[in-house]
Amino acid sequence: MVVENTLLEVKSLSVAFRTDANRYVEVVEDISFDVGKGQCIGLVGESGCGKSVTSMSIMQLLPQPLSRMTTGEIRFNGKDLTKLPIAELRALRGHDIAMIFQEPMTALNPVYSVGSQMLECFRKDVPRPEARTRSIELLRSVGLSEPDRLLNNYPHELSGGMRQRVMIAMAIANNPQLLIADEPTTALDVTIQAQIMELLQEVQKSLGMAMLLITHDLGVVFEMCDYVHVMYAGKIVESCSVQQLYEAPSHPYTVGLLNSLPEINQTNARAERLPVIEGTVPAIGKFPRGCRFHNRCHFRTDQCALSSPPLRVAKDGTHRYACYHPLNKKRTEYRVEYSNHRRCV
Amino acid sequence: MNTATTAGVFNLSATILKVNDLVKHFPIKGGVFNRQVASVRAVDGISLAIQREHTTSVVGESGCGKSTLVRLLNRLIEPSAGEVFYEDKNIFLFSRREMRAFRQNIQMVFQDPYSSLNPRFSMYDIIAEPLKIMNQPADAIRKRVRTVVELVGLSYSYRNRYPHEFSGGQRQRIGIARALALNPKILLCDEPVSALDVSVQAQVLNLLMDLRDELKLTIVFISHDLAVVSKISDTVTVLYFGKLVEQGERDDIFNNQLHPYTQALFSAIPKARPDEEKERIFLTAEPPSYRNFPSGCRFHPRCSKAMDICKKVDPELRVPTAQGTNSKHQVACHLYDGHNQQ
Repeated sequence: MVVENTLLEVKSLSVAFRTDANRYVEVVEDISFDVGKGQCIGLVGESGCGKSVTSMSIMQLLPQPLSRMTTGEIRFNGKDLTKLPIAELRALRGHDIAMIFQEPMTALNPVYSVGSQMLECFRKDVPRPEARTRSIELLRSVGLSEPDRLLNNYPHELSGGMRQRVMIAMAIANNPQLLIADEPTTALDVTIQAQIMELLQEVQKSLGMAMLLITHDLGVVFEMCDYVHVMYAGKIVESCSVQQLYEAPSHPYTVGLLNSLPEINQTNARAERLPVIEGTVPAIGKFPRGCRFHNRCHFRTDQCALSSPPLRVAKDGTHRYACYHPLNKKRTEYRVEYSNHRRCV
Repeated sequence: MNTATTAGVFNLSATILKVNDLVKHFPIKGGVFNRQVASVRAVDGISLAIQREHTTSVVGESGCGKSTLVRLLNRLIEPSAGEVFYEDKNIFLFSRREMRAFRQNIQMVFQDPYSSLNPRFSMYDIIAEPLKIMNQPADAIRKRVRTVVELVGLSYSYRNRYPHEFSGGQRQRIGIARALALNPKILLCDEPVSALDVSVQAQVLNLLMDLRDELKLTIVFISHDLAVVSKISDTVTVLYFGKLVEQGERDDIFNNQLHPYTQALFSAIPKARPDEEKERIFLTAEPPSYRNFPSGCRFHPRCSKAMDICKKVDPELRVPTAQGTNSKHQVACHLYDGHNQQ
C-alpha cells in the first residue's frame, strides 16, 4: 500500500531456525510490509504462521545463534536495523520502538518491584526523583489507581489486567514512535480486553504513535487496525484494509478463516454447522510445495501445486493477494465451498 | 396427588442433573500455625437444572467458578455443602460401585489437548483405557475403539500413533473419542475449543454439534467465548464470582441481557464487523478479591446501577415480573425486584 511518511519498512524478510543436525528450516519467507507514522497495522494468522517471529526480528530479538535472517532489510526511519551496531540498537529499543507481550506475568520480572522495573525504562541521565514522578504519571495515565503505592508492589500482587497496564505504561514511557504489540489481550478476560484495547487506542492517538498489532483474533483487528496483513505458513497471503477483509477478501484462506468465525446472531435455535477450512495448518518445515495453502484449498488447480503465487496488487492499488485464483464475490457467498464432512485429514 | 406424581415423573425425565445450593470453598492458609485465614468461594450456592439432551453453557470470566462447578458435577472434588442429583439420586452419597456406574454416564473433555492426553500412550491405548477400566472383553474394546475413532472423524489406521504426532485439532478429537468410549449420556466440556486455532475450532464445534444430535448427548459447555456459546447452546448460565447471576434460554440471554454484569460482558465482545458501532460498558473497579469480599450483591462495587440495597442484601435468583410467568429467564439483581423505583 502507498504509505506517506513511512516509519518502518520491512523488505523481503526471511528467517530460518536451526533444527538439530545443523539444518535450517524457513519459518518466515519473503515478507514485506510498511508501517506509516500514526498507523495501526495488523499482522494476523494462526499459530505457527510466523507472526511473532516477524515481530521479534524487527526488534532484532531473535535467539542467536539458533536463528538467522537469511534475507531482508528492516528499515526504521531509513536506518537498516539489521546492520546497526548493538549500541545503537539498544538506544532504539524501548525508546523509539517499544514492545508489549502476550503474557504480562512472564514479561515482568517477578523479583523486582513494579517501581524498580519502571525506573529502568528511563535513561541513566534522568534524575531518579524525576523518573519516579514520571512513573507515577504514566501509571495514572494507563488508568491505575494509587500509582505511588503500586510502585512498591510486586508483579504477583497485581491482576492480569493491571500487569498488562503496567507493561503498557513501561512501553510508552519514552514516547516511542512505534509500538509492537504481540497478542496484547489474549491472556485477558473479555471485559479487561475491552479496557486494554480502549487504552491502547487512546495512547496511540494522544502520542501519535504507530502500532504493529500481532494477533490471531479477528475481532481485535476489526476493533483496532486500519490495514491488515494475513499470514499463512510463513508468508503473507493477503494485505488489505479491514473493511475489505471483512467484506470481500480475495485469498481462499482468508475467506475460509473469516467464514469459520462463529457470529453472534440474534436467533439460531439448534444452529447450523459452521463453514470450515479442511485439514490443519502445516507444521513448520513441512510446508507444501507451490502455494502453501493448496492442499486445503477448494479452488486449487494444478498450477497451485507447482509454483508459489506471487503477491499481486489489485486494481485499487491497496489490496494485495498471493493467489492464482482470487475470489471476487462477497465472502459470505462462498459458504458451500467450505462446508465440511466430518473426516479429519 | 396423582397429578402431582405425574408432574414429578415428568420433571425427573426432563432434568438429568439437578444441582441444589452447591457450595465449594477452598481454604486459604497462612499466618502463624498455618491457620485458615480465609476461603476462596469458588462455588457459592449455585442451583441449576440441566435438561436432558440440551446443551447448557456456563459462561463467566476467569475465577468465576465455572471449572470448579464442572468438577463437582462429576464428583472429581467433594463439595463443602449442597447436592447434585443424577436421575433423582444424590451423587455425593454414591458408594464406590455406584460411582463407577455413574462415571460411565458422565464423561469429560478438557481444554488443553496437549496436556490431557498421556504422551506415552498410543491413540488406541488412550481411547481403550476407560473401556479397560470397566473390564470389557478385548474384542469388544477393539470394536468400540474403532467405532468411536471413526465417529470423531479420525482414521483407525492412526491407532498406533502417539499424541505428539497429531495436530491440536486431532488431539482434541482423540479427547472427545475417549470421552465417548463408554457411551455416556452427559458430556462435560471445559473450554474444549479455546486452545485451538480459529479454523480448527470451527471443525471441532461442528463435530460436537453433530455428535450431540446423533448420540442425543446432554452437554455442559464451559466457555468464555460468547460467539462459540451462541453457536452451540440451548441454555446459557452466567456466573460471577461463584454465584449464578443470570440464566435463560439462549435467545433470552443473547437478545435481552438483564443483569448489569451480563450486559457489561456482552458489550465487551470485540466487534464482529469493522464498521460496527459498539457502546461499551466499562467495569470501573477491579474484580473482587477473596481478601475483601463485597457484602450484599458481589457485583455492586463494579456496577454502575448499584443502589443502597445492593450493598446490604444479596439478591435472589428469580424471574422478573416483566418477563411473564412462563419465562425461564432468571436474574439475580435488585433492579428487577421493584427497588429501582425507590
